[in-house]
Amino acid sequence: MVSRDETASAEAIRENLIATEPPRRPGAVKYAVYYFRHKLLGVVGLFIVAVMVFTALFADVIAPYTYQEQNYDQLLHAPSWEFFFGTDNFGRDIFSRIVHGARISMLVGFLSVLAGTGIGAVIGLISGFFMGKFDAVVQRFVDAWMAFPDLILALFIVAVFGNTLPNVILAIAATILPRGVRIIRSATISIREMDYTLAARAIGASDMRTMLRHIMPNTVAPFLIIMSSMFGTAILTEAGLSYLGLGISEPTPSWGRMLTGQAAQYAPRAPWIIAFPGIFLTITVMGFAFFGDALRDLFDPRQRGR
Amino acid sequence: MRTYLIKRMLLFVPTAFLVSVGIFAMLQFIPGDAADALLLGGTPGEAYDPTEGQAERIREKLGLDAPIPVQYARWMGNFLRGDFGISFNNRKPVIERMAPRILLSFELGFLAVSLAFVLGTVGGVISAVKQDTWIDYALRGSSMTLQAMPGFWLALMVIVILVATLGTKPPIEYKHLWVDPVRNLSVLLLPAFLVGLRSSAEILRMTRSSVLEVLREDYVRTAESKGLYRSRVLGQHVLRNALLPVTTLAGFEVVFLMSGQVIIESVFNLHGIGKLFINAVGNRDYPVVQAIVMFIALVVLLANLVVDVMYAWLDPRIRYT
Repeated sequence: MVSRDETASAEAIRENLIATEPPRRPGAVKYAVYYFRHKLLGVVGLFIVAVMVFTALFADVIAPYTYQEQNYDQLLHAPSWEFFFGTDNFGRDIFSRIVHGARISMLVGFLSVLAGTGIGAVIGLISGFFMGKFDAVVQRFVDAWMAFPDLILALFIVAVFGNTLPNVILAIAATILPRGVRIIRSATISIREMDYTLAARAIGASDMRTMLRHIMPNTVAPFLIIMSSMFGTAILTEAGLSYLGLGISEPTPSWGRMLTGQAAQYAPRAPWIIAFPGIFLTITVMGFAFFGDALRDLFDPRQRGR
Repeated sequence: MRTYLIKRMLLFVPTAFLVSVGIFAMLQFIPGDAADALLLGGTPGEAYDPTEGQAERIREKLGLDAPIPVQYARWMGNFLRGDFGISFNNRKPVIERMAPRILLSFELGFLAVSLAFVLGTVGGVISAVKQDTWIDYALRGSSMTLQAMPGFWLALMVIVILVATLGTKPPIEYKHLWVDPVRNLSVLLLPAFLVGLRSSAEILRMTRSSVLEVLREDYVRTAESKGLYRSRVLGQHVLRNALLPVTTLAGFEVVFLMSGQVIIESVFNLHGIGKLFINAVGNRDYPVVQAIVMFIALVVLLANLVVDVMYAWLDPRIRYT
């Protein structure tokens, strides 16, 4: 007969055992929540990205003035409650122009990164999958492409095709493309050595099927990472083009354009003209960088904590 | 080593060839051709009414009636002989417009790269040795901020602050290096510092992680446990190994730096290659654009070649594999 005490202690031992059982690997969502709680920068990045996207989408609602509205009695007005970030030499509200400028930055950033990494990823996938001569040729092209510094390539393309919005997007996409090829290619090469790829081939999957069903889904993580980390670069290149007067033309406000020409002349008297657009550029680029780093840590445990 | 060198140098040829073909192909998209541009003085597309014969004669003279591969071969041949064509703008040979500006740009670039490496490696080592102290956080924080900043904006703000505090603009009148070296350096130092500072951010990041990795190696522990001074461990054992991978960044930095330099030359109104390039793009002066893009791409390719060779020389593991 087993006494009550003994059962109780057995129960306690069992409970103890359950308690000391190694914790189960949390699910993806739980992990993400835990992760973001412990990686503040990633959360900050996500927040900045969200705010910028929101601003771009609802620019008309957020901005108190239109971006063209000129107040000739309020030239070079210092920041105040009426004009949060002051006014420029035409009496235009800088806050409103920055809010509208977010639209251009986000649009150009998103489309150029999507096009650049998208096309780059397709080329990288094919190149990495088939290897051999085709790959060697593609790699020489990528080498040649990478010999052009970002801004110089973008300027060259804009010089040839003209500086309209689609051409600016195309030009920036072209600067991102070779990096997309490199990264997706190296990801593809490591995935094709995996056992599951071998297994897929062993059961007779065609090249196409292996590539699309088994390799491509596994390149989604590097694809997202490169997208978010290239976003900042794209925004900076756009700002550079606009600053040099070869971006999207007036009157569309762009952060880079707000810093150019007369703005620089008036800046010593009215530093807010150039200070705020630059601060917004910096914060946005940082936001995307933090977000990209967090994504990389999330997807690639080897890089975690670096 | 020799096979590696030969292999690496052979890679240069097809890449440079593809670069030149790419540039040549791009220029085929320009509306109108050089004959139109020359007749108009650089604004193709505008309404003009030269006699057909006039344009034809110029086309023939420029060889634009030849098949495209022949045109490419001629262009390349001329380029290799230093004949970069004639500027649409003032009808002077492009080489004459580029030559006086090359020294300035090289000087600026050289200063900027050197500053970037000095700042980046010193900062990176300090950051790694003082890991997780406020110095580390400050250095990493500022390098992250620098990377996110547009270089031209940083330059503008620095100029504004200088004007506001000192009441004077930084010196801008450029003098040739051999004519007035002090003046020359005082003009170039600030722009070079700003370009270099931005590039140093990436070098700092890489140096830091590289040093941290080496610090965990067994041979560092051995060196420390046999009682070597911290400075000697760092100098003899850590830095030698940690800075090696950082040199690979040099090629990448040269490319990155050039974008920054093109803009900084405009901000400081320095008449270098970058400024000429921006003006040429603005004026659609294609022969100048073409020549400068080709020139810059070749400098990049050569810089990469030098870096790879240097790396093989520094690291025996590369040359024997």
